[in-house]
Amino acid sequence: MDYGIEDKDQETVVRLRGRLTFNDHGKLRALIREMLQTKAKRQVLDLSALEFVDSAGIGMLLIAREEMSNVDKLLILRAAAGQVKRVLTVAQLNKIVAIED
Amino acid sequence: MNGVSAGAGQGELFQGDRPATADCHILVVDDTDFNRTLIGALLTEAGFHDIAYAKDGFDALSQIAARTPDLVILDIMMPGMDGFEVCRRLRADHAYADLPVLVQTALSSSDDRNKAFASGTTDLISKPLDRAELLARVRIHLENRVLIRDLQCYRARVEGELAMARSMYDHLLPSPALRASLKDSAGVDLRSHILLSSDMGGNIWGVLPLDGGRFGVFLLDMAGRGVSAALNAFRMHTLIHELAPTLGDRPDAFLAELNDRAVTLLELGEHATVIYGVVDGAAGRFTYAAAAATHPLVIRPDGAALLFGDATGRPVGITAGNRYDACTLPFPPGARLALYSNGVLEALDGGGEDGGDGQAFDRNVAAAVSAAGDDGDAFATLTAALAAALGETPPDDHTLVWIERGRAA
Repeated sequence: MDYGIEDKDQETVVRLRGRLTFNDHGKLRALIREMLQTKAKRQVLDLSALEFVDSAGIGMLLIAREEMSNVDKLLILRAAAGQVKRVLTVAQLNKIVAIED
Repeated sequence: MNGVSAGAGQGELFQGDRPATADCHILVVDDTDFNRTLIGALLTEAGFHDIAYAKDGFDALSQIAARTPDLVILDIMMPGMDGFEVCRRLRADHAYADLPVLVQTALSSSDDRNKAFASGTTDLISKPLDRAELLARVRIHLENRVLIRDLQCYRARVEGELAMARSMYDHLLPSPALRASLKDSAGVDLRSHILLSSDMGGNIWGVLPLDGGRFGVFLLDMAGRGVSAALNAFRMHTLIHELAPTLGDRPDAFLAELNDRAVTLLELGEHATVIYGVVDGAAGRFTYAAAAATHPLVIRPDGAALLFGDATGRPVGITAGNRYDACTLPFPPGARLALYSNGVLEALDGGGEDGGDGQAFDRNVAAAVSAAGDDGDAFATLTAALAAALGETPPDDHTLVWIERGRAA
């Protein structure tokens, strides 16, 4: 998994690319630290270029949500497609974390 | 440390301030008394105290056979058997394949030096001996020796523990006796196919016998993999068996209670997808509830279309108070029911333009089932398709549970 961060006034947009799996634990931890440093309240993970997420990856997204909410930030998952969208839907995560098209 | 090779757990590199290399056993092989005395004195002065001496090649080999040294300092030019031959014989014996051998040699031509290496020498020390060079080479090879031995001990211990843990995991899965009793009471054959991505896995399945020829079946897929996922799968297995007597025949209530208990047990980021259902042969149906599981599959007899059930639902262990819906699939005599972990779905979901959204999986499964024919072994064709899709090293844990009803009602 790879990512790029774009810091805007209203929101921080992090574009995830590739596959988010068990092996990306360290990388996602680092990303969460970076997101905590930014000013915006809205922290958007743009998933449109993410091809695949496994169950451990879902766990990491939930950790990110918790970490953001601890400092009064809001995590938003945006534009999931394909396998990623299916996994989010099957797990009904829209009731736990904000999901946008 | 004595000459007996260190056993598992004896991994202390340092005892007090003295490096472990000081306790290593060194064998000095030289036909000249003066050289043996000189090398011994240099080693003793440097703090080595476990030194033995051999005066020729035969003496060296018999001493090594009696007690394996940690390092051999070997002269090349000796009457009888020379150093080259001692080296060759040591390397021919698997037990001494990694014994460090330092050859002391006045040979200066590169041909002779190459010959020494070709016969299995670890390193060379030039003659006349230089104290600093001798001690530097002895230390570096002994340090390697101690480190490698330490790693080997550690590895052997971890492998032993993982093998034991794996056998505990295997014992959690339904035993042949339990499968035989279900064949009698419920008229079903239970088969399963499990592939783990490492020694331990986070997938677990099982059956809970109920009254009236019914039984419950669960398949749980812990997030993550390896030892940490396996530990959580063990905890969940215990919870499931605690709930079985009271909630075993109500899949929706079963999952809701399992979830509430899992929330207090699991850390953030740890969760499980679960399907739990009751197979009721007399009523000809499978009633289940699912928590972000994969769609249960019913293959009906006589070539009827495959049925995939809905398996949407919040994963277990994230938030308390979830509600789960009970769903029903027909399960008539002659039908087969397949439950499978997410890894199986991903593996068979490749290929085609719609790969990745589950459509390709349905198509691939249908192809495997029809390849087997109506009376054929669809379980075998499915596991073969899975093996072909995964190759040698599966990236995730895979479990396929297969429940087959006899045709006679």
